[in-house]
Amino acid sequence: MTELELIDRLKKGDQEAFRFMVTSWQDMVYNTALGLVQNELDAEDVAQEVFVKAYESIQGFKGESKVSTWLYRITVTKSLDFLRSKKRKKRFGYVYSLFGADNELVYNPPEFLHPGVVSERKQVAAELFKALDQLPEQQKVAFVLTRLEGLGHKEVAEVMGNTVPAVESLLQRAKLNLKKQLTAFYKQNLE
Amino acid sequence: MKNQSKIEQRVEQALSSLDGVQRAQANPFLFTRIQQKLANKQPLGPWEKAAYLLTRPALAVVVVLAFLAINLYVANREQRQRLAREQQQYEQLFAAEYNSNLNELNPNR
Repeated sequence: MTELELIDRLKKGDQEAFRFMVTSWQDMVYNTALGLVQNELDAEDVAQEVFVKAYESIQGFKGESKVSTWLYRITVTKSLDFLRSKKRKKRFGYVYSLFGADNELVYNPPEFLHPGVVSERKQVAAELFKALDQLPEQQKVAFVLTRLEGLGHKEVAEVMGNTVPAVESLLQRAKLNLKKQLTAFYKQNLE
Repeated sequence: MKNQSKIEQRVEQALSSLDGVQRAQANPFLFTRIQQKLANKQPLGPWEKAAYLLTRPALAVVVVLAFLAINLYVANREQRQRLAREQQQYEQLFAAEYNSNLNELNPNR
C-alpha cells in the first residue's frame, strides 16, 4: 500500500488501514516518546495519544510531508505536553512534601534504563539520560531524534519545522550542555 | 590530574553509550488499547453537549454579564418609575393644597 492510498483509506475511516498505520509506525512512535519522557508506561500512554490524535486529525492531513514525519511531529508535541504537565505536578509534589510528615520528596524518579542499549553500557547510558532530561526542550528533541531514532539533520529539521543549520546548532549546544552536566556529575561522584 | 582524565573518559563513554542502540519495541497490544480509547470517546448526546457548553468559561462570563446588565436595567427603570410617581403625588398634593389656600384667602369665591 502506498502512502497516498493509505491516507485515502484512513480518510474514509478504514479500520484495516488504521491498523496498518499503527503496526507500521508503533515502534518509531514509542521509541521517540520513550527517549523524551524516559518512562515505559508514560511512553505507552503518549504513543496511544499520538495514534488517537492521528486518527482524529487525518482529515486535515494534506500529505505534504511523509506520514512518518507527521507522526514524529505529533509524538514530539504530545511528549512535550506530557513533560510540561508532569513538571507542574512535580512542583506541587515538592510543595506537598515540605509539609508532609516524613519531610521527604514525594516524587523521586528511578533511573531510566533504555531497553535498546546494550547491557554493559546501560548504567552509563542512564547517566546520559539523566543529563539529557536537564536539557532545554528543543535541544532534547533534536538529540533524541538524531541519536535514538537515527534521523539525519534534514529529517530532524522537517520534524521540528526548523532549518538544517538551526538543527546543527541545537545539536552542538546539546552536546556541550551534556558534557558540562556529565562532567559536574562525575566530579561529584568519582572523586 | 588522574581524576580529570578519568572524568573525561567517563563523559566520552556516556556520550557514546547510545551508539548502536536498538529501537525500543511497543506493547504488542497497543492497537487494541488505542481502539478501546477511541471507543470510549463516544460522541456527546444533546444533554451532554448542552452541559458541556454551559460549563465553558467564556459562556459563563457572558451569562453573568448579561444577568448583571438586565438587573441594572430593571433597577434603573424601577427607580425612574418611582421618582415619576412621587413627583406626580407631590404635584397633586401641591395643587390640592394651593387650591384650598386660595379658597381660604378669597371667602367670597
